[in-house]
Amino acid sequence: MNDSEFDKTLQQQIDALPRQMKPSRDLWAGIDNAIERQEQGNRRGKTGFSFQKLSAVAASFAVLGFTAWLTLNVNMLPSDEAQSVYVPGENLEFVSQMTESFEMQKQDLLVKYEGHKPTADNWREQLKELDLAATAIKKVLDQDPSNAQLIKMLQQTYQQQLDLIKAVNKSPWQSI
Amino acid sequence: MNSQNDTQGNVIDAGKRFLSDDETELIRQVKQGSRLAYQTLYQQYCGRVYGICYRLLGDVTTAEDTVQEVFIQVWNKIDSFREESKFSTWLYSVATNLAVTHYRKRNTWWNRFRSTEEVTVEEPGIEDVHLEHGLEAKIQRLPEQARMVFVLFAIEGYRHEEIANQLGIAVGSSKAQYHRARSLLREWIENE
Repeated sequence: MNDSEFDKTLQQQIDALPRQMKPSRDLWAGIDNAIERQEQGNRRGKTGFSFQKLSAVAASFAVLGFTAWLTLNVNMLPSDEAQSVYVPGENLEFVSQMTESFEMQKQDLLVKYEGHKPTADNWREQLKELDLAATAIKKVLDQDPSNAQLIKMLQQTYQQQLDLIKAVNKSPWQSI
Repeated sequence: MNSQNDTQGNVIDAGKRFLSDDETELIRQVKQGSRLAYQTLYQQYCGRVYGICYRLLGDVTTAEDTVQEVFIQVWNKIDSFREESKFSTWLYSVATNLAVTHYRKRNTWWNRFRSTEEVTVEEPGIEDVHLEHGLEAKIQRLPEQARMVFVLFAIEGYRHEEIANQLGIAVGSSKAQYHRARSLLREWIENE
């Protein structure tokens, strides 16, 4: 067989080769699953991002607002109205009970959601920030136990912590 | 292109069903996130993409994994497809690039070194039903780089400059590998 004959034979055999071949297994299921996982990841990522951003902004505002409020008010005498409603000794006991109750609820939630995959990565940092804010309020309350606004603020900070733990550990389908 | 081959089974049947569909419309739907439209495109092109991957990589499992990778990557990049060329041309180029990437990873210095150090006994894998065709079996017997060059040049129609660029070799090497493949095939065909 000379070169030209061989080239012709080879070309004929190449042309006869099937261009399409059938895989040995169904490949679509794997592709579909991979795309679905990616989409879920993207959705979670988007939700996590906005939640992270929102809670970070909220926590920062809480800390900043509280610091500003303290700067302006810490040296001011408690108002007569506040003094007439709250008795210092009782208030301290109330704060102590409230703190104890909060710590129990917080621990319960942390145990409940142990092993859950949270929707935000930095939620523990946000929790720590809120906890720092609560500690700062308590310190000021020690000096000014009859201040109703401080007690209310402490209560709100505790509630924010509980809400944060619940929110980041909520399953994605629960929010649909 | 012999798209009527009997061995295509379901792949061809699915393809036929959708041949009348407007591909541009399908692509538009895929760009909007329609998985169903994408499955239609997959059914239409899976056989051809698998053919490219199988011939370039030479084994069923790696070729199948690569096909999946191709369709996942195309889904992710569909927005970058500007419709200036045919979808099939774009898809086949993604398939060729990924198969070549697999080949290049497999042929790193370290992998070549390991393969000479470790003597492994070939486990019987998936039965290779594609080797029934005489030339197919001979192509798969070719040395790896000669096979890659032969498939890209003689079957897929790439130029030596493009092949050299993809495989990271000189143009002269690509030509030399093609002639090596051709000589071996000639020897095997003439001795049949």
